[in-house]
Amino acid sequence: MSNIPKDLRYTKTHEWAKKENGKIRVGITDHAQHEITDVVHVELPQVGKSVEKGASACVIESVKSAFDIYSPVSGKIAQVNDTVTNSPELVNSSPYEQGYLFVIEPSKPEEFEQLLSGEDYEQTVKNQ
Amino acid sequence: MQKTEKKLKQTPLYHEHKKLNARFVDFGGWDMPVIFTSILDEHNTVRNNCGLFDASHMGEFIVSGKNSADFLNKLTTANIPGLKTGEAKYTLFLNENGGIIDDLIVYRRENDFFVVVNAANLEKDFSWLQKHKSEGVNLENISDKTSLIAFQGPNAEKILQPLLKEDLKKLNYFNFLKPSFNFISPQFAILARTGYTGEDGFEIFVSNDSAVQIWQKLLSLGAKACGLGARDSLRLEAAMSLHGHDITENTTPIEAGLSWTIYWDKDFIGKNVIKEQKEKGPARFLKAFILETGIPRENCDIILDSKIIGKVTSGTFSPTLKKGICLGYINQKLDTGKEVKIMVHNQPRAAKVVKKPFYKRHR
Repeated sequence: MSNIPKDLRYTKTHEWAKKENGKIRVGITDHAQHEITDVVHVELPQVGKSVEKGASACVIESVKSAFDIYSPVSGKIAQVNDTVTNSPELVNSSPYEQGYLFVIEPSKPEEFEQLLSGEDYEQTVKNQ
Repeated sequence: MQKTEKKLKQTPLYHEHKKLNARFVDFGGWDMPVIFTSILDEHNTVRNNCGLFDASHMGEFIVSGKNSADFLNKLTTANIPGLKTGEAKYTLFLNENGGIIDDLIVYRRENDFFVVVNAANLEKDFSWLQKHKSEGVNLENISDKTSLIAFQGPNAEKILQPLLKEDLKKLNYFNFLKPSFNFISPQFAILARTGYTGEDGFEIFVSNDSAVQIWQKLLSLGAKACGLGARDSLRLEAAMSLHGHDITENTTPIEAGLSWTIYWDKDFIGKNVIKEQKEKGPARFLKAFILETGIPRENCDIILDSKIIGKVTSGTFSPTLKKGICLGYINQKLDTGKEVKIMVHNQPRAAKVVKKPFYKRHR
């Protein structure tokens, strides 16, 4: 069973979101990194780029395939995790900490509250 | 996730792969292992140690009869009568337009030819052979009773040798023999020093009922099970073409850089078209590219001076070079080192034409 921290919020598309000082930190879940297998490349968005809830914000690649990562909320990219550019394997080894992807300055803060709880996400994973 | 009703074919090693918790993929109607542990691990194991692949989905035919050499000579690009017993040759079936129906390996045995074709083209190939069959030629499709275990990597010989009577030091690249194993006596067996990884190694063709025992034996001696994922990244680093992608019925060997497979001093199907193409020069060229950043995938556009000059046919992350690599057709001759752009995720990425292969083993 994959690790699903209860203090984070989730999307059905396997991103996690964490509220920090009014901003939203985003990454992919342990379940997602396991499904993707070895992450060998991350295409991060540019800082300042506008993102829409549910739209592709970033691409994660394994040897074989590319996976779109969807933004959990709308807003502007405030910061990206450059560490994963040189060490993409962090997305596998530490999906909730060192392997996070970016931080969003949300334009519709209420969207965060609509995200799945840890329990709901666990159910989503079980049903797939 | 949608459940498919399609019944996929299973190789005799399917349950062995299940035991190892492999991930499976539908590959041309076969339920094949794509990853056992990690493509990176499996890839690197083949480059540095040795890996074991189930390639039992591949097609195997026996072509026999007194006219079999002439028959295959007419249908392939190789000098078939020039093959000696125990020698194998990589060659192509071409259609009348010079398009590549399939790529294959022909093994000359004492009294017949053993022919190995791609799984996806098996039926098409067999019909093509039947259609052109003449008197004094017998065709047998033994695919359903034949398994193929590929054992690839620099340590493959060391591990395999103690299991055999024959001296593997004397078995050269693209040669084969009938192996005498000390732990099993398969009804049918061919051991060839061939492969699809760019590494030293062997391909072991055996009757289905011996496959599990050989697979388990080699695993117990330190080989690592590898899936189709690593098989693809390994073959692409070695710049070996994949039929259906880099070569198709609409591409010719001249365009694909496979002129070296053609023996011109004979008549064969498709010869006139490709001979003319060779003289005039082809309209497109299969080239190899390395990217600065980003991973190219099939169908990405190749750009020169803001114009699309071609498309990627196979692309991957190269675990050895740690960069994106690809093969693709372009509509003009470009020298090695020439800089182009390849569109990856809608952004132009810097790429360079490089000499094939991307990876060459030290001999």
